Amino acid sequence: MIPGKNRTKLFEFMVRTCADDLYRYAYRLCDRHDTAQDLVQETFSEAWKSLDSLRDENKARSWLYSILRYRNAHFHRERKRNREFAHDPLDFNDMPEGNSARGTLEELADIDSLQKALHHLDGRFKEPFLMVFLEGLTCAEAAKQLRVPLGTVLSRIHRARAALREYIGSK
Amino acid sequence: MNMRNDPKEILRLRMLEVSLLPPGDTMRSELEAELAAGESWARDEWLSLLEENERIRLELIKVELPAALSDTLLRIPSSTGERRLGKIIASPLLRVAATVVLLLGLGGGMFYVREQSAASKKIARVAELALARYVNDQDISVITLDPDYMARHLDGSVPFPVKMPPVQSGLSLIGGRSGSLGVYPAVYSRWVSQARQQSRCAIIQFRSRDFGLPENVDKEVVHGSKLNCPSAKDKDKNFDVIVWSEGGNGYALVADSTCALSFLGRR
Repeated sequence: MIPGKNRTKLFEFMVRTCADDLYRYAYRLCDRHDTAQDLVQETFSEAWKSLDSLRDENKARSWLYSILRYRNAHFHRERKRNREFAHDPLDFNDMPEGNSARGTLEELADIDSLQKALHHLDGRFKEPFLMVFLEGLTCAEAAKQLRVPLGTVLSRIHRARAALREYIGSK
Repeated sequence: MNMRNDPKEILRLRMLEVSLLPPGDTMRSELEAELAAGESWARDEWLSLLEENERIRLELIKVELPAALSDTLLRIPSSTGERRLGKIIASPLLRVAATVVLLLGLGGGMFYVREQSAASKKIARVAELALARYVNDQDISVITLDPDYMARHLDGSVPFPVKMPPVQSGLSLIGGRSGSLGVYPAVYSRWVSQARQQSRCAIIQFRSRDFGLPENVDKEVVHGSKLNCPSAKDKDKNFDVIVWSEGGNGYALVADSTCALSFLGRR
């Protein structure tokens, strides 16, 4: 239960209880620590400005996640427009299986292997997957938020899971 | 056999969905009871699914968090103004001056606060977002003169029916796109007036309830100069924003202040 009516206290409570989870979600969604930090900061700035529109304090967490998703979509639109952040890591998937250079390069570049697997997932698959596994929504809730049928969410999660299985299985 | 009709595939999809529900959930308990009495392949797949879910969750949360993330975020309220005044008047030298200013402003301030209803604040918020959107981002995804075509084109991209308000006859649509107003879905449309030397305006449609506005609100003109929109102040123009709602559809019209009201048609 989120205590108090006071704006600042409510905001502080939201930061202390949700910031880390939102950061993990943002990083997994957008691949980059600097972008994730910007997204989380913009999310909380927007939340602070719009705090009066939060009618149910118990829904603050899902409210913050939806702000983050909007900010992320906006960021991607901007990036597409500006082409400033040409972030296109090497496509290790094109390498033959068992290529030893793969592991070495990842180690050298300090790339999170799971993140690399996620990077190759289309946003349509990644988003419901993260909504369920990180945000903790049920598939039905994710379908409602994304405004797609439940079956679509299930098949997207299934595809995402299959794409990540190789990585998870090798751990 | 069609995969969709294959009982094994149906059960697999059900297991996939239900495995993501928390333990103790009714649907999950029901499926577990069903599996306990069913075939062993399904039980094996169920257990490996649960194990895999757990491993995925554990891997996903392994993200290195930036140092002092919370501290940075906790400074947001003060950096946006609320605490700034408090910090300034904490200085003993400025405390007296601040008190005098406060007392002088108190009379006028109280009058202003009483006058500004909760609804007006919400309208001002919408106007501020609409003005910022108009000044900073005029992109459109569909170019058309026909509001009905635009509505059909954008239908489904926002969770409400696209419906433009009546406008005066000399005003022509240029096009529009779906997007957001603040954090809520909205439709952005651009218009041009042939009669007024190519004056342009934008009409943004949103759900009135998203901003806590009643289903029907009379048109309220908000002067751009009274809004907190630095990018609008940089422009060499005065803007007006007209905000209203009709049957749950909220609208914000942004235009040059000399002609904003004249753009709207009579109902």
